[in-house]
Order: sequence, then structure tokens, then C-alpha cells
Amino acid sequence: MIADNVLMAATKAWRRNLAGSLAVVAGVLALSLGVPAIDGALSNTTVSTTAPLEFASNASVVPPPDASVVADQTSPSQGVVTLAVDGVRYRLTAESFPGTLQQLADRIRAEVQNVAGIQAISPDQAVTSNSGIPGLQATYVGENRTGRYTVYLQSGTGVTAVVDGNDAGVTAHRAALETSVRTVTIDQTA
Amino acid sequence: MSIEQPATPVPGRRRVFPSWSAAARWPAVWFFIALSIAGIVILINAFGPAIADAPGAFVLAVVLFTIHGAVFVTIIRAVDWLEPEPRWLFAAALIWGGFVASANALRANTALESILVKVTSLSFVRDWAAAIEGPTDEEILKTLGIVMIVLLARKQINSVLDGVVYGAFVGLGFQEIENITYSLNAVAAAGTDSLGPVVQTFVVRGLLAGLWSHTVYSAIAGAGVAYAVLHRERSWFNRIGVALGALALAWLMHFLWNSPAAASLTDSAGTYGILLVLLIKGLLILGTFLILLHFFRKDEYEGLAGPLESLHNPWIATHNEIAALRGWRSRGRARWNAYVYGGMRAYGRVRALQRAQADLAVDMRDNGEAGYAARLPQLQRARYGVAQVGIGDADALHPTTIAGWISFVLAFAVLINPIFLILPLGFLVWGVARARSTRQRADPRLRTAAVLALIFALAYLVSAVARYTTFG
Repeated sequence: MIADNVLMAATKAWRRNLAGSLAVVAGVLALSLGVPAIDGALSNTTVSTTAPLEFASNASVVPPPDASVVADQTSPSQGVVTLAVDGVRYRLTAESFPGTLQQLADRIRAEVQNVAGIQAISPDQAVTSNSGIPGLQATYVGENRTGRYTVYLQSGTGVTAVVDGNDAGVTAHRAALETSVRTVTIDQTA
Repeated sequence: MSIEQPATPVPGRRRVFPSWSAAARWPAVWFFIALSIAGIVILINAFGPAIADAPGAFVLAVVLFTIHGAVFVTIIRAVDWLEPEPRWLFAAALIWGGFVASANALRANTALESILVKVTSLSFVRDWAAAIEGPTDEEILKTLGIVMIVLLARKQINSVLDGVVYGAFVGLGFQEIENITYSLNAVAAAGTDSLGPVVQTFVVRGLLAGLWSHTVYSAIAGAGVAYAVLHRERSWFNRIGVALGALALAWLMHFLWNSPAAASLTDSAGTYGILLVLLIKGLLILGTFLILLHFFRKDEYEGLAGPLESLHNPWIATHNEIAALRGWRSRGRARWNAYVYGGMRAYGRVRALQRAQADLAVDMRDNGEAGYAARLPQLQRARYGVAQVGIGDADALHPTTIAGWISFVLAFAVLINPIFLILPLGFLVWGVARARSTRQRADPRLRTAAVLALIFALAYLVSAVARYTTFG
């Protein structure tokens, strides 16, 4: 009789332990899988192509037509925004950079060279933004893929803009993307 | 949360499960192991490449933050001294915080930021994402870890302070793993396997922000969980309400720390403004926690002092000895008195007596007469040892002297120049020698001042090394 009671108590405690454990696991999974699922169910937002988009506290750009923000590759707190135009990826990064414009260009060149499949990169060419910020630009090509990086540096803030996509997409939107890249501004007072 | 484990507690022993096979019968044990392995896999996937790119920086980060964590473990164990929790449960709490909570928070935070980008603006996300994501995902995940500890060992939660202690360990595990990942991110941003960013992260996150971080937030949440588990006489509404209220307070503290509140002050006052805002926020968080901790510790002490007082037996514990058990300062003063009287041997004997008294009180509270009988031999041995060195009453009574105060003030001179370390140390040696020669007690401030001066000297040394590493 006593053994039966102990067994019943143990079984009840085991069930409650199982229920509690499942509740904890459900809580963990709700955050680990549920929140990403909600994120996946929401569509990326399109952005205005006339108003400047502040992608960092001291940097902005006017996005090209039909651009949308790729939310899961965007981190405003780190000054990073990724836009998508018909499958073409357009990523802008603003950061504090103590070096020279050429050093900034060399760094992104090294990163691009390390990407698998990149076949050639053009020499850096001087460019200037619409607001007069000096910059450097180069084009790269790979297997069925092309892109372009542009770097600007002003008052210790460096902005890197990388356009990357398949040949057809980049060619179709080249003019609009180039126009957008030239609208980069860096606020010196921030 | 009212899971009862049928195993009858064995007086005199603090083992949660009689054997590993007994532990393996409980579902919580297996779920804990599975989630821990999954967390480790997620972290390796996320940070493996960064570790491979900067192995030297990774090793330094692990060493620095392990030492940092060890200091916190010592502090938490001191808070938990009256009723020490089993070490493997501490390890379980650390593992949950470090691997389960941090790994899943990594996924949840990334997704939540993405959602915020989609439903708000980039400028809003830039300012408020950290204040929303961190508290929401991380506090819930860490609190689930405290619930898991309850499921693993319900019998070990005997006071609200126990919940505070387990919560603190979950938070500490999270905090130190997060510190290491921040170090790796800082190194990646610098672009080379350099040690400077690791030291900078250690100074900022370990030293400047370490005192009012995840350890404190989760300790608060742990108090709520323990309340809900212990107060079965209250209504479900009350118990769940208090637990959620504690979680909300932890969330609020985390939100306050991460929020851009008073950012305009930092804009106008520069670096000093930033430090001032950090200090004000940190002291608000820490102050709130310390006030609550005072009441939790008082509650636990009174729960244990009662059984000892009820014995009316000075061979078990005198009134002064029971009073000395109250906190780490009073316990330390009683040991200090013993040290001044009879050196390190007497110090150790009094410490053993205090341990035996606390263990007996805990077992009496949990197991009544059987607990008393089980712990009595340990206490008798300790009492005999104290009597052997000539101490009849291991009290914490102490004098207050001018020399003690002067020594205490002089300890702060070490902040100006470490050479002043010699002054508090000199006062200590002189004070102890004088007390022994006159058979008097010595002012414990002499010891406090010497310890403080040593800590300041060590901090000076660390900052010198940090400056050298950062700036060359």
C-alpha cells in the first residue's frame, strides 16, 4: 500500500516535471524559432526614392526606384543598410575610419578579392558625390556576376557602398544605382 | 512551478539526486542537456569563423572574462554562505545562461531587429532596438533557465534568496559569454587578431558596466520565481503576479541600461557626460538591487537564526555567535577577532564553527529533529576545536578606533599613487601586534583598509597594463 502511494506520487511528480519542462522548451522555441518565423512572414518595406534615407546617425542616401530594405541584413545601430532592387543587392555602411580614403578603398578591395568567384577588379577611379565628398570607385566581375564598390571619406567617417548582383540585374539598374550612390551625404556636425 | 520531487531529503546531505541513474529518470534533466548541446552548436556556428580568424584574441578574452566571472562567483557564494547551494546546480545555471540563453537570444534578437526595421523606421531602430530586443528576448530566456533549475531541483529552493542566487548564476553565465562574443566582434571590426580590442572590451563591459548587468537583472527575476515556488499558501494570481512583476523589474532595469535616455546630455558633455550617464543608470540599477537583496538576506537569516535561538544552548551557539552569522561582514569580524587572538589556526576554527552552526540550522529548518541529530557531531567537533584555542564566544564585537579610521582614509591615497599602499599595511601590522600584546580586540577597519588598498593597487596595475596594451 505504501509502495503504491509512493509510486503514484512519483508518477504525478514525473508528469508535472514533464509538463514544466515542455513549457520551458516551448518558451525557448517560441523565441528561437517563433520570432524568426514572424520575421519571415513580414515582407520587406519599400523606401521613398525622393527623401534621403538616414542609414546612420550622420550618413544618408537617396535610394533608387523600387528599392526595399532587406531587414535581416540591416543594422541601423551599426550604420548598415542593405537595399534590394530586382534581386540586386545594394549595401551601404557608415563607420568611423581613422585612415585615408585609399586605405578605405584598399580594405573593401581586399574583401571583394576574397569572395569566391571574383575574376577581376578594375583600378580605383576618383569620384565625387553630389555634395562634393571625394571618393574612389571600382568595378568587379565574376562568373555571371558583377558589382561595384564606392567609398567616401569625410571628417573621419567612411561610407562604403557595394552594388552586387547578376549581370542582367546590375546592367538594367546601373544608371539608377549610380545616381543613388552619388547622393550619399556625410553630416560633419554629428 | 510547484513540481515536487518525491525523493525524501537525507539529513546532513545536500545531494539533489541520490545517483545519476535517479537523475536520469526526470525529463527536466534530459531537456536541459538537449537544449545545452543545441545552444553550444548554435554558438559554434555563429562564432566559429571569428574564433578561427583571431585565436589569440579569443584565448585572451576567455582568460580575462573567466577571471572576471570567478570574482562574481566568489561574491555570489558569499551572499549564499548561510545555505550554500550544490555546485552542480550552480554549474547548470551558468551553462543555461552561457549557452542556452545566449545562443537563442542571438537568433531572437536578430529576428526582432529585422521585424523592427520592417515595422518602424531605421532611425527608431538605431536608437531603440537595443533597448527593446535585449530586455525582451534575453530576460525571458534567462528566466526560463531559473524555472528549469526549479524543475531540476525544487528542494533546493528554500528561500527567496535561493532564487536570487540561481538567477545571478544564470545571468553571470550569459554575461560572460556575451562579453567574449563582444570581444570577438570588436576584434573583427579592427580587422586583425589583435589583443587591444579585447582589453578595451574588458575595461568597458567588464569593469565599467559589469557590476550592473545581467547578473543583477536575472537575480531579480530569480527572486520572483522563488517566491512563486515557495508561497504555495498564496493564490496562483498572487504568485504568478509577483513572478511576472520581478521579470518586469528585470526588464525595466535592462531597458534603462540599454536605452538612449539622457543621450542629449552625452552629446553636450562629451566623454564625461557619457560616463556620468552610465554611472547614474548603473547606480540606480545596483542600488535597487542591493535594497531588495538586504531584505532577502534578512529573511533567510531570520529563518535560520530562529531554530538556533530556540535551542537555548550556548554549546551549540551563543547569542553573540548567532548574531555574528547574520552577514559576511559580521562573520568576517568574528573570524578577525579570532585571528587577532590566536592567529590563522583560531581563524580557521571559528570559520569551521560558523559553517557547522549554519549547516545545523538549515538541517533543523528542513528536517527538524532528524536534521539536528545528523549535524550535531559536526558541530561538536567544531566547538571543541574553538574551545581548544581558548575562545569561548566567537562573537563579532569590535572596537572603533581613530587609527582604524585614519588607515581607512589613507587606503584611498593609493588611488593617487600606489606607493601609499605601505601606509594601510603598516597600520594593519601595528594594530594587530598592539592588540595581541594588550590582549584586546583590534579595529576591523585596519583589515578593511589594507584589503581596499590592495584592490586599488591591483586596479592601478590593470589600468597600466590596459593603457600599455591599447596605446603601446
